[in-house]
Amino acid sequence: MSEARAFKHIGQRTIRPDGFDKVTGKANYGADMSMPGMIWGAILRSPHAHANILSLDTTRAEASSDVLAVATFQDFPSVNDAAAAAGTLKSSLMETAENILAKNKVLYHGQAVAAVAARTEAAATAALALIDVEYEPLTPVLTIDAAIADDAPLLHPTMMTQGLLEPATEPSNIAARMELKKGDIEAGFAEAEVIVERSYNTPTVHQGYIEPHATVVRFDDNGPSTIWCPTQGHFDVRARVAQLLNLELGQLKVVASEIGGGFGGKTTVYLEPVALILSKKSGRPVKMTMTREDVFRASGPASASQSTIKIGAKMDGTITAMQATLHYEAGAFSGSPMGPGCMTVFTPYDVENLYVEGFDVVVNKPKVAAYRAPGAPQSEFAAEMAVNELAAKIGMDPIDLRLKNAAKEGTQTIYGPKLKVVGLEACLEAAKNSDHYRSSLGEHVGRGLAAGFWFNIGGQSSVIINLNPDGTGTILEGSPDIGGSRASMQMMAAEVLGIAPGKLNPIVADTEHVAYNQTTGGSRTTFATGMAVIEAAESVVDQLKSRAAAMWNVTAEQVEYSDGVAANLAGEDRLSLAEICANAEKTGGQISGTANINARGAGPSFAVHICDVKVDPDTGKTDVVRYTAIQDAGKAIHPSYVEGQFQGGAVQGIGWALNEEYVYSAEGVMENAGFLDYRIPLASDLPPIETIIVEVPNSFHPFGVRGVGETGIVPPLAAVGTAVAEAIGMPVTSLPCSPPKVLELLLSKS
Amino acid sequence: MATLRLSGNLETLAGRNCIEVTALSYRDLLQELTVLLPCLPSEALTELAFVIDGEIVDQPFLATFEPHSELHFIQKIAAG
Repeated sequence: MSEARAFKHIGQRTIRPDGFDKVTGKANYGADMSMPGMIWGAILRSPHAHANILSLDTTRAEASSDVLAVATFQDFPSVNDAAAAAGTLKSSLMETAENILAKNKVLYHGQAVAAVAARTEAAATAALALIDVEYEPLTPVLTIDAAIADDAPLLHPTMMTQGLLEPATEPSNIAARMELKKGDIEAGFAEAEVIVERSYNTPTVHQGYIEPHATVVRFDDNGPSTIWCPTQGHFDVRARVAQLLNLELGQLKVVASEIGGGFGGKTTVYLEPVALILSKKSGRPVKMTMTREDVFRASGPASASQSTIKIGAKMDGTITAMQATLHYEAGAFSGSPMGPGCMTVFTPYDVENLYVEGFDVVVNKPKVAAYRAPGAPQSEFAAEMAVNELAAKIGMDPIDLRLKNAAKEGTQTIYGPKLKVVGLEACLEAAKNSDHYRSSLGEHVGRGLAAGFWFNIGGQSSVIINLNPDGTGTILEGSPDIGGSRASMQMMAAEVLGIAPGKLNPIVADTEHVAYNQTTGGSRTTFATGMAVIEAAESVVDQLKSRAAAMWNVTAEQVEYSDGVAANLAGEDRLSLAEICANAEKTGGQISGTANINARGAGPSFAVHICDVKVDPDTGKTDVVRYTAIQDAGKAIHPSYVEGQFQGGAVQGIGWALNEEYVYSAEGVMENAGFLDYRIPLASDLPPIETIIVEVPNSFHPFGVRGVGETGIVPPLAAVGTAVAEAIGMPVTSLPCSPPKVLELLLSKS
Repeated sequence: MATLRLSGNLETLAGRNCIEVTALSYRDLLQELTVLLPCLPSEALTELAFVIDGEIVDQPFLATFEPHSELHFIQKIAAG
């Protein structure tokens, strides 16, 4: 797509098709499913952050009349150590199994050790006390510094660092090292007239999805066993459970329930394989749910990080060199998002000389999972803070500094490819011209600005569009809807078919009723599944033309289709879509279009955020008083949901910057495992998040779409951090900027 | 000849940051690299995303490239 197009439905703000069910409580989420004969599963979790399991005896639990099944690691068939994908994060199948049920060692407080299924939820919980486990506690390793110390206790005694210049000879808590470079970093610094160098850290945070993990599973000897669960990718749940339990894919059917948030955290499995083991053993359907505390202690949060950034520049603002050393916590098993963190850290900048070194470090915390643009918020926080410090040091406006060095079409990225057409400069210009950026600041108020980048992906999507005899239809897709995608699919199909979006019912089909779809993640769904919808709809249009041609006894080439009406170019005849469908039986039967694609050409997305905060000098409490999110959407299919993605990403990033963090005791026990103490922002905490949608079309998508789901969480950390620094007149290097930490900075200043 | 640019750990393994190749398809490229750079195992390369002239190609076995193309292998991106 190279030119602006006029659309009828694209760009409108239609009512979302799933909205009524969600606001009235009719929508069925993971825990809403129940079945006749269903029993309850419960998980026994580790009381230690690091310990050997000396013995595990389930005899007493198995003898209980209420208990119908018990599961331990021994119930996993031998699993290969082949790498299995979990979002961006690699993890071996063995490690995945050990994360689901510990083998002979526990590596974080709350790790699952065994499971029972009993007749009632209360009985299942009570039966956990009948499982006898003897532990040998070990010293927990809770920080990157502790993990990489020379005398650090090893989580995995045989783990050797991958990616070193020379093969590792000693085991280590560093799972992997990555190095990326471009140009000559030493020459770049030699050329610089000013250098900024500083270290930063970010805490472990959780995605904070409202719905805890839940599943209902029914094992079936005679057909596919069925798993119901809230997930971002039911095809990947099927694949992962099949791998873990040595099943064929055809032996499993996975139904994606409605999902109460995921943000990357629902791209892997925790309960599902355990429930299937328990269902098989008991012969009953099994329901398992996590509590909020379980979610905090034992699902996958985002990595804590430590970053050191060094930037060299000339006094006119030309950046000559950028260097980063990045450490990411992986949690108990290797596989942090260190890779994408390294790849994204300097991508907003067109700079000749770059060097990045990254480390993936294991610690005694839950294994991390993807969280919206995984890896990018941590590294880009550090880079953007340093860029803002550079701007202050040379007395240059931070937008002008970024415009002078902005990535653009043709910029060579540090990870290899050159960028195609991107919208960073357009976002910076929009920020500069915004009412927010031109407004003045009050007392104790600081302003911060930051840019952010995320790649976006395409991938496999499959769609079926079936038309009914009355001209209504269904869109069967396989991408769970976590952000309004059903509305987007409906609108894109309606645009091609020329009918009202409400005539089409978008359905997220299970793994047996639509072909393979990759997980909803990577900001791919509106782009890739949308392309499949467009292709399927175009197939339907071809059929409509053929059917009309048959009725008029002309060729399909003599039929023009526009705005839901077929026209006979050889005469005056007209037939609406509904009229053609009404005669489908007589012209060839069901009208149905399919598309199975591997979408190429995902367009990267850049964002720029502006944040004003007010800091109370007596308490250190920080309030966001104004916030604007500006982002390139390519083309906004449904502007309200695009704005919602911008706002959601901004709010999650504000929470990460201001208050959210896992607080651990010295023993490695999370001390704030609930929303009362783990403080995510509420609507009442924040002003309305202003949005500016920039549209620089992605030429690879028929309507110009770029993914928008992830980039929005990247800039807020540095936008907020810089605003706080400006408000208090002190550098901010550590998140969150919670009241005690800000007060400490203020006291140290005075 | 097309240019394969190597970065990160691939550059470290290969000991160079680019190499000229005669291949004009993904399959031929993998074959050629087993001869030119045996230190880069094919299994490691096929786990990576393949990039032709800046565009990530999701179906590399279906893609061809030009003698002047610039090629990369990069980490696959999925995410949240």
